[in-house]
Amino acid sequence: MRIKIDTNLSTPLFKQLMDQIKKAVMDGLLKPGDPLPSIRQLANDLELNHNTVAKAYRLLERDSVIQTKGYRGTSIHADAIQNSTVNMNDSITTKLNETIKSLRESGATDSEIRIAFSNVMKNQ
Amino acid sequence: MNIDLLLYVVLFSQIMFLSYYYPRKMLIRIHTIFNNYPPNEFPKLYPESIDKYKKSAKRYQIMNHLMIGLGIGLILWFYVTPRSGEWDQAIVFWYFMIQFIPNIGIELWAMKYHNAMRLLNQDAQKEAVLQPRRLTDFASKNLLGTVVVIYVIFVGFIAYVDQFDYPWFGGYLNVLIISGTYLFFGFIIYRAMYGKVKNPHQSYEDRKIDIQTIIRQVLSIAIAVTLYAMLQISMKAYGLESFKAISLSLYFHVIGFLSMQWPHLAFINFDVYKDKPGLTK
Repeated sequence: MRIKIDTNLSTPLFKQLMDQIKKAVMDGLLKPGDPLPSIRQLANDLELNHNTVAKAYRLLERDSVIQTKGYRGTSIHADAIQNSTVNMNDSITTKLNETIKSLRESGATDSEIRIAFSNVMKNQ
Repeated sequence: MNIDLLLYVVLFSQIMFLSYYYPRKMLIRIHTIFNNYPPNEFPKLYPESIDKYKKSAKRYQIMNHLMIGLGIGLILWFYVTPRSGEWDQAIVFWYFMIQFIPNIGIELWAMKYHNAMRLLNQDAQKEAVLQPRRLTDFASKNLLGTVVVIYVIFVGFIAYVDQFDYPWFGGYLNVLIISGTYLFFGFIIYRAMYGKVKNPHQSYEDRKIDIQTIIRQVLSIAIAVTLYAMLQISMKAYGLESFKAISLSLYFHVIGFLSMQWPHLAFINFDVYKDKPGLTK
């Protein structure tokens, strides 16, 4: 299974990596338990910064598409197929839309919402 | 055949083997590439002018001729100068160090060549195989097992010799030196397997062949180094020091043979060096 990234595209490189790994899982090219290369190997092969690959792996791990088991390395998660269909960005956007709508209905202005959002993010 | 004469024969063989036979093979390889894969058809193979590479090849040839001259001069000097022989091993050692300079030059040239290739590479698309590389993909378990067994035998050998309290014997310092050498070899293997891509156009299959060649060379050299260390200690223990220079020269034959192995040109995918979109990997 080959992965290809394009540095000319406007899509962030970590997103390209994530999307292709998820697509490979959904297409059956990567199966649960299949091993993945280490961050260093993949970053050097793709001539990318290690942090870019690390970020993609971290987010895929958060979404339970991949799993890291110490010295055994990284592999495809057992539930990867169903988890690859979930788009976390869409889910976050939906939830935020609902929250903003409800805040507006309760009388909050956009400026107040922005300031409150910013303060909450800073305090996290 | 007396020891001196044997030394001359072995040293002459080392000179011809490492400064004539292998460089000739290397130059034939380089010129075959120049002739069969010219810059107009394979532009990505030549990040700089082919004339520059031809000059480098010529310089490599001249340097090796100088090494042959120096080596033959050394044999003649051995022949005409009365000597005790205690410095023979050191002289053979330092001759080898000098003799290897053209090959170090080739390595440095290869680094510059790949740097130039990377600088000129405009391809925005990068490709990688989504599969981890493991040591056993490139070296057989038998070869890896042999390296481990030889190392264990070496430690046992040192422990055995240590019982005799030879005043010249360095004891476990030998284990430390060999362990350090193994660590260095490990670093070379790690870099070959997981390091940065040297040649941005090379196909993954060719890269795998390169990695395999490096790993097999390094493991074979590790075995040779350990066996030679045991041989040296044994020779000293049995009072065969007069053969040390000869054994060292034979050892350099082996090191030269192991380190100068290259993948056959027929197995290399040169199409990736053609100037066609979509063929960059």
